[in-house]
Amino acid sequence: MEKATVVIIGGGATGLGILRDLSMRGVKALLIEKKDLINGASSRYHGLLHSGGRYAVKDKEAARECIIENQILCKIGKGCVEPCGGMFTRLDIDDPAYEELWIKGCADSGIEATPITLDEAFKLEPRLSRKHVKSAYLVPDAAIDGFRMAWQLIDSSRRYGGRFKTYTEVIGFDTVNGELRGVKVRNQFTGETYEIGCDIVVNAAGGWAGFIGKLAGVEIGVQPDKGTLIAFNQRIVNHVVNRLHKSSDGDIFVPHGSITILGTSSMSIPDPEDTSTSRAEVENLLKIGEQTFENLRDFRILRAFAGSRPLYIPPGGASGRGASRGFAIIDHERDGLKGFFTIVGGKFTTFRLMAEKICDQICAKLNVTEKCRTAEEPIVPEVSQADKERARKFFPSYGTELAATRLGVERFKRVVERLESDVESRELICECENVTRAEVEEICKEDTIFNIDDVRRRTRIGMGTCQGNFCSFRATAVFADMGGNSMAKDSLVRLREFLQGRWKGIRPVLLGRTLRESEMTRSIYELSMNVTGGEPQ
Amino acid sequence: MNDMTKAIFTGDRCLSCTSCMASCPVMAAIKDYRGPKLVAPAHGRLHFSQADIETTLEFCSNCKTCDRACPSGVAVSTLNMLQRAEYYKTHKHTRAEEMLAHNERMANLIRKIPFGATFANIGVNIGKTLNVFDKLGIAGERNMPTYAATPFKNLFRRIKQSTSGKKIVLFTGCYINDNEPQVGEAFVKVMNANGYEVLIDENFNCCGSPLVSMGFLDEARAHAGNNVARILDWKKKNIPVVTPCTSCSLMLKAEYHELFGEDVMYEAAQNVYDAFEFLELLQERGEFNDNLKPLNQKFLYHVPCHLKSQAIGLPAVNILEEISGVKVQTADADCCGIAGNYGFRKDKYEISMKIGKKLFERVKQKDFDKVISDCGTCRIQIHHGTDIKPCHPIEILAEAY
Amino acid sequence: MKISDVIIIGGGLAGLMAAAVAANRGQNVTLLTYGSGSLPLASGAIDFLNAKAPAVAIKNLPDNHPYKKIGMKNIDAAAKFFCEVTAQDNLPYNGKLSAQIPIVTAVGTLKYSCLVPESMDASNLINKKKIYVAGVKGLKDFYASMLVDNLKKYFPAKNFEVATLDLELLGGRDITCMGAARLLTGNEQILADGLKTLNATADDAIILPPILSLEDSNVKSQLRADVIETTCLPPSPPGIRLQRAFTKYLQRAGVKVFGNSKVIRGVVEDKKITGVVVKSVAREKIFYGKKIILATGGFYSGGLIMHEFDKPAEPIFNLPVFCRAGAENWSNEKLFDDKPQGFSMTGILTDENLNPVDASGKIIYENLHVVGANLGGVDFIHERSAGGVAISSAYKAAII
Repeated sequence: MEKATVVIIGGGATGLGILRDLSMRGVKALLIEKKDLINGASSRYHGLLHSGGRYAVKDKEAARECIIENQILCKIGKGCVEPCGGMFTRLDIDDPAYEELWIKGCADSGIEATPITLDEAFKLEPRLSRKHVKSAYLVPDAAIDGFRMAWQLIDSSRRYGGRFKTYTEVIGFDTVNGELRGVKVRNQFTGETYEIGCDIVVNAAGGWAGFIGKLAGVEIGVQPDKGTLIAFNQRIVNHVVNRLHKSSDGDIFVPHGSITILGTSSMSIPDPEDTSTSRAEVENLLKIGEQTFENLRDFRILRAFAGSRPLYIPPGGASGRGASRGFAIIDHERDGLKGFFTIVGGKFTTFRLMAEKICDQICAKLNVTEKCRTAEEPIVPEVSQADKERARKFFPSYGTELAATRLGVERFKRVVERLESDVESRELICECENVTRAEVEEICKEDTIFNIDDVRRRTRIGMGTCQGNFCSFRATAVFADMGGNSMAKDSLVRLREFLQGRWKGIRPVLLGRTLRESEMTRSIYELSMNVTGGEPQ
Repeated sequence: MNDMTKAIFTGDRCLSCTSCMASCPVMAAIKDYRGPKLVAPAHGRLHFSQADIETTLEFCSNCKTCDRACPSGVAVSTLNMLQRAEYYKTHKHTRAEEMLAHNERMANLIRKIPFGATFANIGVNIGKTLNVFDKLGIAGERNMPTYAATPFKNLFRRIKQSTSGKKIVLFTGCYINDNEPQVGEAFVKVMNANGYEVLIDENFNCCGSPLVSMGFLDEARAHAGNNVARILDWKKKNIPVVTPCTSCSLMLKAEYHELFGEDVMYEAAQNVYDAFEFLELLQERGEFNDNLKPLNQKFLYHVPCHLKSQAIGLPAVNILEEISGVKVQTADADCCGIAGNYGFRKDKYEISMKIGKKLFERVKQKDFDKVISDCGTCRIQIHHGTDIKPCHPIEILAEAY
Repeated sequence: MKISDVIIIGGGLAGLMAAAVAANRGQNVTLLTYGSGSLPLASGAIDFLNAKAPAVAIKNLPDNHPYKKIGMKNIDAAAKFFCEVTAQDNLPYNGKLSAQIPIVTAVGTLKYSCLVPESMDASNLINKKKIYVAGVKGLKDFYASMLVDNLKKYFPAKNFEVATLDLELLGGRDITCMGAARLLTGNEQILADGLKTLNATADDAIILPPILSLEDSNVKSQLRADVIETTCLPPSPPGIRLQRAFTKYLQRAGVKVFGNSKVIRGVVEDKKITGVVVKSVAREKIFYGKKIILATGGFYSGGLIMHEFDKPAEPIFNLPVFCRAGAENWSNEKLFDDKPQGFSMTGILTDENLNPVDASGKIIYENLHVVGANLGGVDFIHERSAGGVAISSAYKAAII
């Protein structure tokens, strides 16, 4: 039987943070995830590395945690963090009294909030509404790329012996006399079921934590809370732009590499699988967003997406926006199940801290005395300047830095070597986000890649302007050629499934220029390629 | 004016449809250029977040064929030029680029020397024989445009015009002023025949087109600032500014605003007309003097790219066909390849000639009496590629009065 | 003031066809285009309808279908005229409306159309002994092994061989099919010589990406085997060849073609459009005409726009636009579905003469005719009728 000391359930930021932390302390840990990594709320959010400003009035403790973790992640996760800075703007319709509370809150929580004049604000953010914006402050917000962070955490964990399995679903637990012995899992593709023996299970399944709890026979107060977001085609802001008011829907704009994300809404849902978005939600976000940026509707929207926050509701606690963004660690020994932990709540910004806290408890149980080092050690080593210079000769412009942080030292080196030796591998598979064939080939060969979406999450293909119109065909062909598993050869199925995935996010925003893009998708893939293989009836 | 007409905002409209790549003449000539879509709108998304340079940007000739192919209204070539200017913030211009961008400065320098123009022309010839151009990075194969003994602005003072209540200001542009003053003379004759008195504003600068395409954006902006102020002055007096040079008119009418995005630039643009556009407007109002001598001639008309970009139809064809016996056939052979100073650069000469091949072959069929084209450098290119010397359509019209 | 007999707005397939038909009838034609139309995206094949025998199936369509308004006689005549135009430019098309011809797609499926460029006609593939699939070194958008894997499903018993040609494309930027076709135009011998090294016989076929010369290719004539081009990602040489063939026809016919000319509104007198206003740089310019044909396309081409949900618009004449309102009717959950997509049915409704009509069926402008993809009520992509409707509606509008 396969064994690990600790099995972590859930491949989001929290789970990955725990895997890294335990692995660094020498604990044999295995992470299992029922889909691909970073496929839940950890990538389906606005990618804001909070300064804490957003919580400065309501929850000073959360605010303090944020600013500390913000500074740590900026230091250890350079390649994932874009230190763009943040701006809080109060509009004419917002309560000026809140501004006073907020200034005080920031000061109390150790968040540096610098007032700037409106002229300065408009210079820094030229698209801000001159009509509505009444005051502005700079804070140390940043943007953080959930995908990159995940791949780096995995690379780091692996270096310390950590393991993970994707597309592996938990179907039950093996307990003897109230003591946990193992996890029963199922391979999502083959249907094969088997058991992994372990001493401790960490339920880090986010919005799914309640379901996992049920499988183990314990009650966990998790309320999946759906947040919908919109991705714009270009950077329309240079900083994270927050509304300076009581936290609400659609009041944060985050610049991310080439795009901007506007979010979010907050809606309690019964099923964390529900990542659907609707026209009404999009309309609502735009309506609020255009109070800050009047010309918002002139900008091309790429897609809408949603994720579910795992809000922790202690018995009798509030839900939705009222619920705490803090986190909770539950040792289910209290429920009569020894060796079973749940970590729930929290937010991306504090994932490292959450991991540290629960790992301290686990290590205490395991009598491991090794201290947490995740706050000091950079997640991955940086790609050397020498390798970047070599790469620059063949990478498209704007491609080197992005690929270096995406790939990490070893993969990057292999990609550069391939670019040097194989001229054809220099071609761009994705012309919107500048992804070379060499990089796609490198990723396709990995044993954790089963479909084109898995390639997308690691490379950004299909996430730019054309939303896959050009790269889907190319990536499908490369995957069919290089992919290590039998699913790769089923190229038409892979292609359709990938385009369908893109379609899901496009449907709720099917207007304006996105309509044009979709007509192009259909023209290419239905008319020119006949990807359904249909014959005349 | 809405913000969204500035070039910098038009990149967001790109659907990545690749129509620009299918039409770019440089891409058809060589394998090195990555193409308009990748350089301008696609990289445009990325350069908001980080600084980098696309090295193949140097191959863009700014002919604007991509802009016209774009179904989404992206100012592709202007985005390229903005990026080129970024490049030169951290890179030095070559001497050839310095020289080719500053036609106006060079001409002024030459004129300060007694018999400057004659010497300059001799110098040009000697320079060519001694391979000096080649060393500078200017295509040795080319004949540099010769300098007229008297620039048009001086010649103009000698032209006798009757005063009229109807006035226009002639924006000569550098090429007509320094190299082909006869076009200016023809223009004055035509306008006089239509009851207009022609004025010259000595305070105009070069429109800036050669500066923009060589990445001297700050200088171009200074020129724009001066020219726009001048044009607005004339506008206040209700006197339109008219130019027979299509690259100048495109610059004044459209590119200033696209590049620099100031409202006054758009306001000034409304007071600027291409010469034949102006005549066609007279014709539409029934004010065009159609008392024209017959001319039994057939013309092959090469339509300059920068005229096509103006979306004003083909007013020269309309007007010339008013002359009895005149037939105008368009060459329909795409870009001539020279694109202002692009084809003068040694490393771009071959590309420029490859692009022009289709037009040269068409011209060499010689099934016409004369080739006409509104653009000075297009005329240089046709002459160079075929040994057949073209003229400006306004010279034909002047002949008919 | 010059007045054209016909002004056509839009330079896609429908606009080019309407201009060609009108010019052929001796009319003074002005064609105003903005951008290069949708042909650079197109496969080059002209689909008429998703049916084994479109000529029969068209007759069974409901009366409000554009084909029914155009009439079978005009549809036939349009197909005939289309083939004449392309043949004049040495771009022969095969096919008829009573049957479908297969072509090979870039992914290796077969696609069926009524009219296909001779260079893409794959009808004979079934009779061939051996099928060579020729990739090209340095060509970006052609993946021979994936194509073979999928094409084998249609021809499991056949012998396939993948070959790679070196056409000296390596060493510069990425070369797409269009890039290769342009670089090979005028330098095609290297391709012919490369294909000859396969030693394919008359019993064989060679499938290759669409990179034959953009004009007057003579590669086929040098080889004994059939040479068959596939479809490709845009920009698509077969679509662009079609565009060029029509453009040349229009030039010969004396049609005034003005590019970069975005029409922003009409000059209206009573129930007539007497001219159209073009947004030129810095000012507007009016083109006058007796008859106006609107061929501005659907959403892709900007002939229809929608800034707010459920409020589509026709931006030039502000014609009433048919639309399936409501999120649930707008699009299907599946991208590739067995029912039409609501948003693609958006468009302008017309009477028999393709005059736009309002909800009550009343004609809005007597001398305005709507053709091609901005006709409403039908998802042309789902129905596989985009090309057929474009050329036949253009034909009818031009002869009225």
